[in-house]
Amino acid sequence: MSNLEQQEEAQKQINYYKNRLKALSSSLMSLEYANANLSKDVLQMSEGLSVISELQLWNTESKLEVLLDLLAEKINVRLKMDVTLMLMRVKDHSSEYAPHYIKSFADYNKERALKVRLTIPEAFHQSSVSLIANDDSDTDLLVVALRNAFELDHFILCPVIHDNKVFNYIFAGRRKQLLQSGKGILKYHQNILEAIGGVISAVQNQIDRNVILEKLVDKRTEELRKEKEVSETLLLNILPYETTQELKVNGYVKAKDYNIVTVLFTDFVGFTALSSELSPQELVTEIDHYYRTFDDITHKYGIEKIKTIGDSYMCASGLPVEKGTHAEDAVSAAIEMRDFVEMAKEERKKQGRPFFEIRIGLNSGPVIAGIVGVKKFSYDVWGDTVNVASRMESKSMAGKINISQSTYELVKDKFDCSYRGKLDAKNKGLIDMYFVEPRS
Amino acid sequence: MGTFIGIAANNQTDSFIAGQQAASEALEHGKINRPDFALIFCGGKHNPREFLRGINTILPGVPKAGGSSFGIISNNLIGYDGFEVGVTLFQSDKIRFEVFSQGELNVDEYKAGEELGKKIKTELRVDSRALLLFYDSSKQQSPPMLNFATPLIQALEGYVPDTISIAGGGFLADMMLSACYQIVDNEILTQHVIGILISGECSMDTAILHGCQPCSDYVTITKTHGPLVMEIENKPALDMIDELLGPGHGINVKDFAMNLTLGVNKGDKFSDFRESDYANRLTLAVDEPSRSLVMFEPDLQQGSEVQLMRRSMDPHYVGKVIDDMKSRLGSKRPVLAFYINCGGRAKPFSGVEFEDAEEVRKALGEIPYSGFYSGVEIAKVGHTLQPLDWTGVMCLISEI
Repeated sequence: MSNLEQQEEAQKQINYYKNRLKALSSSLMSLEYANANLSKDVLQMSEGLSVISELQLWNTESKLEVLLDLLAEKINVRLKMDVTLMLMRVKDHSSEYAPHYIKSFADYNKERALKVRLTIPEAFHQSSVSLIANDDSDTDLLVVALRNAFELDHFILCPVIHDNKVFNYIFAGRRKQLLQSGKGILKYHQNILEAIGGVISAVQNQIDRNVILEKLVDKRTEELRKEKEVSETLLLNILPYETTQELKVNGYVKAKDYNIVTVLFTDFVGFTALSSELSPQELVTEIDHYYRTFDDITHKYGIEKIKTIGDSYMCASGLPVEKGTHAEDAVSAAIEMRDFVEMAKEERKKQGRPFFEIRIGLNSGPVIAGIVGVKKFSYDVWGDTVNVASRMESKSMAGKINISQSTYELVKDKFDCSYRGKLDAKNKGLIDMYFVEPRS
Repeated sequence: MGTFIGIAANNQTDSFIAGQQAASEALEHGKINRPDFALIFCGGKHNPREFLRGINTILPGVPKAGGSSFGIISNNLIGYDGFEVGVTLFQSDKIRFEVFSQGELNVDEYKAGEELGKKIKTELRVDSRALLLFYDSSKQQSPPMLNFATPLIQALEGYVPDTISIAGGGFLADMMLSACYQIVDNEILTQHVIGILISGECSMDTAILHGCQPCSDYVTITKTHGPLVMEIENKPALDMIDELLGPGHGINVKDFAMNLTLGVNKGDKFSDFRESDYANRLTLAVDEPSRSLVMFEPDLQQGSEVQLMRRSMDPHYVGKVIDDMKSRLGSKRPVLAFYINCGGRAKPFSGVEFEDAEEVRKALGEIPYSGFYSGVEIAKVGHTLQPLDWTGVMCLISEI
């Protein structure tokens, strides 16, 4: 082979390898470009998916406003948007929407954007589909309205569906990129936003459930409050208020000494005889009628009802809170009780019906008051003062109020008292007694 | 005492809090009690005034330089979502920093470079070692345009001796060429170039990282107009690129933008491939009517020989470059690795499977590491200082 032929052969080989190299480079570059584009998309997709996976780490305490604010921020940063906001309905049943939770870059005119009010066409609203706009020449009315409202070239409007209705819209957009051949908003952005919408719906579900639960709790609380009120009223019927408070705080009530109180007893005269004329039911109804009025009277004068024993009503004035007017109040109450019974007697006489008469006795002196026992307990008073008061009642007369010397000394200046003399009281011997009447 | 470095970065969306937190953490991380100088950067979605106000609650009166960045690089955070901020604090009795600035970059880049060069020249000392050069990449006009580093550097080189190691980057707020800011002490500036003169018992070694390799013959550019490469081998540039890629390459011409890279070999044309010999020039856009490539810079001229470059899918080149730098340090103690990396090299935009700034961090080991993502990078390729694209510039500052 000549030199020329050898050179030609060598050149042929060089050209062959150059062409092979070119072909290989070409296919390699094509693959690299394709790979570059693909990996850019994959990376952005994974960024978007990370927003969803991070949702579980957020402690929003199911407060929707906190969640929406966080989501707007995450979407804007992680999906590399320039503006992200939530379009919320202005009023119920309105098609007007206003932007909230706007996240943007430093120079974006957020104040202007916040003033935007957008009407979402009913047909679009009903379709519940997402809108992606990348084309400047798109003349769709909603696209143009959104582009003008938020000054962005590429954007997506994604409905959040809750309870088969559009709850709100997520709006996210990008400015036109100059240095990268940006593709604007892609289908995977829609998929990610729709998934995020699902999370919003789930949170709203939780909130709805919480509202129902809260209503139930409120209802039950109200029931419990009423039950407690009933219990307390019942307790107050049994015990003085101060004693109930002491019982609540300490779990028990200590018996207390009182230097001076006035104890009042009433008794229906001829009760036994009348009992035989009335049925037990009628008898109880009758007594209840009088005792209800007595309760009102003692309440009026701040007198503590102690108990009833058959036809006898017992109360004490000056406890559990001591007071200087205990005797005066007790006598006033006694007069009102007596007058009520007398008035009823007159009416029943006219009607020809059986009637009661009452005798009342009062005594003033020291007592011990408190609760004994743990079952069916009741507030009670003990001491000789109580015994003497009972004697005063038994030595009284129908329609009269009989008071002892000690009570007399306390009320003589306010009531008309007539001395009855020393009368024999069972186990007490001769005791000074007075009938008392209102000042004439 | 030596040199203490405090680095902190975060991605708080509140600009004031972001600045305050970064400054506070930088002090803490560096155990710094008398900060001498701060490099401060904030993402394009931040309000730079609020960011600086936050910084100043912690570092009032501390000399500062920095500005907008496409993203932030640090030991703990690498990010480019627009809300990243970074603070690098220095406390040193060996290294000094002096900051110079010059405006009206948008009016005349060459003149701005000349004026900055004059200011720097008057302050040069025998122990002046290095210069970090930062500038506003965006002209802020309609239609948007870039400020060119080529005339800026050409002018500046006349005033700065070869003994000064120079590296830098163009600030970029985002891919929309939004307003970009520069910060000098308590001033927020635009359309400025900043020079940070580093002096004292120190050095700054630089290296370029791009990982690109030539995948075509050498071809000669035969017609240009400013940053437009109109013809290659007397054929319309796009037609020639089609030819180089081979028939039926299937790449959309629109995808050439921010992808197609031309390499200029500053070393021996036919010796073994060396990454450091190649200046990468990235295509900013394509002008289909004229079948031209629009480049970032106007430095490719008629007669320039270029090759089509392909990106490395393998991160190993990063470790090799960094290990080589470290092995050349000798007795010098590295105090800071400052990385100026092209925004297009961030993983979501680069199309490669790895985060190169992360690979750099791994290779550096314990050396404090900070930096930012830029629009254009500046470094020496061979003996020529020049703007670069799709490149990372590592600046290793050391005590000597």
